[in-house]
Amino acid sequence: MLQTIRDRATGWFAWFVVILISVPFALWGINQYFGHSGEADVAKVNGTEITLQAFQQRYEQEQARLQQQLGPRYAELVNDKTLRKQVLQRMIDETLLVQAAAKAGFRIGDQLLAAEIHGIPAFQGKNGFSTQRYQQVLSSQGMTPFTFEPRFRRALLIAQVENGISGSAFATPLEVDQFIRLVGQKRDFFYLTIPLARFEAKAPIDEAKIRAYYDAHKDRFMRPEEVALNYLDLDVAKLARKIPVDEQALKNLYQQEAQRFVTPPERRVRQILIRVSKGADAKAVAKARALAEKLLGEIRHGASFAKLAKKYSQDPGSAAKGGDLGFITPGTTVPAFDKAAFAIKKVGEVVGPVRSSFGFHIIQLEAVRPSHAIPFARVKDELAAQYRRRKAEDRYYDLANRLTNLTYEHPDTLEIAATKLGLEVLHTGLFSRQGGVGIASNPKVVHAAFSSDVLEGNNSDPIELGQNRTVVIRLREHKPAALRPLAEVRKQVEEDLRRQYATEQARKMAQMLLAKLRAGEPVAGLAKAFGLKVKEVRAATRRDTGVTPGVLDAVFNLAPPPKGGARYASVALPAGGYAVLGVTGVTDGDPATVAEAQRSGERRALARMYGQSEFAAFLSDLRRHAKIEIERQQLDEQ
Amino acid sequence: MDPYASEKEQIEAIRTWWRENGKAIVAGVVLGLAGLLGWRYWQHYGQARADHAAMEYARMSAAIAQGKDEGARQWGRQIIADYASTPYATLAAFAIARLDIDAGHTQAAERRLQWAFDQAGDEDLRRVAALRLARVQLSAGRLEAAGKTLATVPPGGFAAEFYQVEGDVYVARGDKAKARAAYEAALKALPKDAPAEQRRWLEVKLDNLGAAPSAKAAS
Repeated sequence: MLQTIRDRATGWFAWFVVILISVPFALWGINQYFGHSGEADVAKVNGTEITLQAFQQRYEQEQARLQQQLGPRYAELVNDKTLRKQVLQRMIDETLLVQAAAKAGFRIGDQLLAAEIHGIPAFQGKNGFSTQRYQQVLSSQGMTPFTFEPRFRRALLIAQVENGISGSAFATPLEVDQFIRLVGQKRDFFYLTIPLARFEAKAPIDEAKIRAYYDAHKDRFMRPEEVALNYLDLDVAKLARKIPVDEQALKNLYQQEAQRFVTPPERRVRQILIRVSKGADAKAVAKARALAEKLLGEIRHGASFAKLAKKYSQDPGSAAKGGDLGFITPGTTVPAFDKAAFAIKKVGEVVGPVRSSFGFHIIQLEAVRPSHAIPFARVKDELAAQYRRRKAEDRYYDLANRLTNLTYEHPDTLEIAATKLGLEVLHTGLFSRQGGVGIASNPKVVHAAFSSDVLEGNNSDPIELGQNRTVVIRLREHKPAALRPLAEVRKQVEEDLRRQYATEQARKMAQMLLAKLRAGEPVAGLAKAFGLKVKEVRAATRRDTGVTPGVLDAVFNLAPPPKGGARYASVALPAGGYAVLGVTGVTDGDPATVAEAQRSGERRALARMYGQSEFAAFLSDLRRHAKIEIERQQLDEQ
Repeated sequence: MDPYASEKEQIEAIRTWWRENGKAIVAGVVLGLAGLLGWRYWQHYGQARADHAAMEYARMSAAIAQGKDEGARQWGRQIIADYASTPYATLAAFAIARLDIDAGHTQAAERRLQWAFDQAGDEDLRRVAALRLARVQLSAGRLEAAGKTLATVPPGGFAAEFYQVEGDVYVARGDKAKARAAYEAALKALPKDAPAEQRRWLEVKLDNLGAAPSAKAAS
């Protein structure tokens, strides 16, 4: 049979087979055969994979962005695990949006994609969009049009959906009115505060209570875990101090860089300036030029430059001094002036009129101070510092490499590296996870110090504390977290107990006062009877300051009282103690009296809020219906 | 056990089979190919239409961003007329409705939103349309219509939004208890990443009705 197939493979049978096989390729393309091949995924969103590689890339980008934004506070503010979750959530949301957009029939065609790319200012040269610039900018970001365009198309698609929903949101006139009424509402109220101090002194405290509280709240009285470190500190600045300097080397350096150590040539000049304003027309320019020419002529015929400058120059700084500008160095004045002033051949010579952005100048050279070399002795210290720094940097790279190797090869000691590299083993004091002084104030060092590797007694990896400084740390002393003895914390326990007692008393009193107020007793009488002060506030807004913190929120939490009546509440204050309050009047904001500009401001703010919340709802709806599988293991292992 | 005695017989059998079924197979393949090509053409046609609609929509968006409201309206009307079956028509109707509301033409906005609501193919866009339509109806004092609009679509992930408008309708009716319940449900249904202002605004509206009797006793 097989033989026959081989024999016949040139006839109609072969063609039949070829066509049969090629049909699916022709119709569906072969791209599907090159899809994902065993790549690890972190999540699957309705069947679409988010690959580990894509996630990792995005995560690193985000990390770099935050590090740049937060600087040294990064380690303290950003939790890596949370950041991972956030990045993944964003990637999932984006995938959902892309899927939803495609399903609903949104599309970014090639033409639109091209138009949008052409509109990006970064890709534009002198004459609009430049292909060369486009490729340059992309490659500087490590991308090519092939990698950039699909990504950009995706971003455009998402933006289209997002802007389509949140950008078309509005606030109706009724909603704006309601907003003005409620947010601009004012309330009249009174309040009594019951401070803790009233009860604290009377707290019944005895030894048994102290003991019991201490036993029940051990977690409050723990001393945190602490460590002390030994470390090697490789620092260019320190290395530089030890580099020997010999005179001859410095002299060579001085010679090599001779042109750096010269003073610039200086010229003392006078000028007469006839100003021409920025938008001046041809007539005004001609007039100014004619005046300048005339003055130049007078000077050439022997008139005093200084006198004419005093009379005619429109340069406020120099006119009074006869036009004297003092000594100037090249490049410090406007280009046209600079060029002319340094082109004059002889002292006393006058040139002009020179046109600059200020107007017309007539310039006279008064004196010349040629450039001269700065003697070696004056720059010796600067040269020495430069010499040391360069040598130290060279040494640093070599030493940093050896430090890495030696501390890795001998993970249980720093001594070997110290001896071989001529470094000293230094020590820190004890510090907790909150950090300490010296290198222990650096979050990277603290993080490494409490890593399991270092706590187990190994050398840390090299920690870069900047471009030119590396440390390697190891554990010197480890104090685990421990309960502080009662004697040490007795004062704190007593304070806690007093506060606890006083808070309870204040709460009871507040409840009692509240009940009496609700029963109709007048506040003034109650205040007098209990030795409290009533504070009355009229027409307070939601943002009023000057009211005890915590009171205002409670005031605006109450329903408006019936006419002539009041509503009461009591509230625990954030600073301790209680307040009892009564709202006696509510005045809504009045939409009719609000200025048009403010009204449209409120309208836009409300519309933006509606837009954002509608889009958030849109996303949450997509999430509800999606099948999302997250590979926790992949995510956490990284 | 080979039923055919020799290779020759096998070949003969294939030939006979081909004579009998060949025409049907060729016809089937041709038909199948035509169908596939037709389907692909139709798909391509749909995509090309969507591409054009997206292009015009981008122009409309640019006009809005530049404050050229009249130009934007023209683009929008054209998208609605030419590409009614694409989601761009819905978005264009949204955009025009917003321009109408801001210009004080509430009735015109309502008509646009009603149209978007009636024809939107995408479920979520339809929900957005329903919400906006109900809010405009409420603003015009047509409480009945607003309630009805909300009731016609399941809220899905838009529950917080729906409850909020429902609460606004009850406030307009003067039914504080039901309004309170609606706002409370809205706060409960807010997605985690909802904007903070939305939560605050719901709380302000709820506070103004006064806490429910049970909550009052606790404070």
